[in-house]
Amino acid sequence: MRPTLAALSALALAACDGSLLFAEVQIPDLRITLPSQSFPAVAASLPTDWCDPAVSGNPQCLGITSDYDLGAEVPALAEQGVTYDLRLTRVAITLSAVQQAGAPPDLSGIESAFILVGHDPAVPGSGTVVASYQKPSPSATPTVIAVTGNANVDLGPYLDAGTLPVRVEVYVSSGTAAFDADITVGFSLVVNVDWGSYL
Amino acid sequence: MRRLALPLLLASLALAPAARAEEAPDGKATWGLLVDAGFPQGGSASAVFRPVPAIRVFAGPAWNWIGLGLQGGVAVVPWHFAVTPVLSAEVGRYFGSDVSFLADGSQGVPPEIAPLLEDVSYTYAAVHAGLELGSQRGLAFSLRLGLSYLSLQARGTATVTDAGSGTVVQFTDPRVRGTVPSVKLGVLYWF
Repeated sequence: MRPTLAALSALALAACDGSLLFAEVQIPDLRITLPSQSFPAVAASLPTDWCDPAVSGNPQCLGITSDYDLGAEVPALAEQGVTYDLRLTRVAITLSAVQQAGAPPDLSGIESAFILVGHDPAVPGSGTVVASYQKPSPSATPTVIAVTGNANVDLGPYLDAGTLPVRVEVYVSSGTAAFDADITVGFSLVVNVDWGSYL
Repeated sequence: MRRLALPLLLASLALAPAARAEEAPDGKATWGLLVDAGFPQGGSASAVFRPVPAIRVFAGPAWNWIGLGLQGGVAVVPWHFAVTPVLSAEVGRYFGSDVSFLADGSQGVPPEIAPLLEDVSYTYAAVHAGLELGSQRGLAFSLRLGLSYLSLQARGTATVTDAGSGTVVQFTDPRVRGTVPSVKLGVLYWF
């Protein structure tokens, strides 16, 4: 009798990962696309668009920050007793279908790109790089730049009230005009709810 | 009065052989039929085999309102009286079912979610403790409470577009697992 009872207990505990009452939601692929994000033109007269305004003569590095409101898509993130694991799986920059006048026909002007989280606007160069892109060849004329994210970085600490600010910094060729791009960020998300905290 | 007639009849059938039920099964009634229903297991019909008096194994088809599945398990009955404690453990699986009708707008589920509901399956394991009332050679009723582990898988991609901002959100192959309290009612008949 005892071995049977022990086996049943073990089954229950093993199934629960040690927590008696819990729920876990796994979304292996959650993609959020923000359309028509404006990348400014290379302009020596507008250092506010530069990655580091303090670096004189550095108009080729342009940065924009977009907020990804994960809390709106997964409201449980802000609930009591909820823990989560959020990873970046991919980032895609796609030339928007509708463009500003004079926009380039492709993304060939982007020499390299870096995706950062935890960027402090007051501290140029701050943040953690979670994905990067290097133009594969000088003659490449992509309309989509897709890169794999660094899945080793837990993005949870970078969430602010359910919103993840994502910084995109691109190094562009001289003379690149302003353009709009749709930025898709892919995540894997695991949300754990400890029922016990509600009792 | 008529409403009480059927339960009273079933109860009398169950309790009539109670005196004999206090004896250990003599080995003749080793097969039975168990019909039970509960949450989150759904309803099931099982063939029950009793290799030794204290142990039962059972298996059979299962049904919940979204689909069909299979389930089976083992129960331990440490002694035999008219009221008998029962410990059981079981596992089951419901095969992929299309529940996209839930997203028709009337159930509060957004229609955009429908693609995720076209192939939903789940697996469960449960442990229960409860009481069985009746005969170990005839008819018995049981009520069991316990804990269930569920793993629910939805396959597909749902795309939701915010009409205002144009933000597009895609969810692919979400999975939910967890534990929930479980309850089961059963009727068992030994042949």
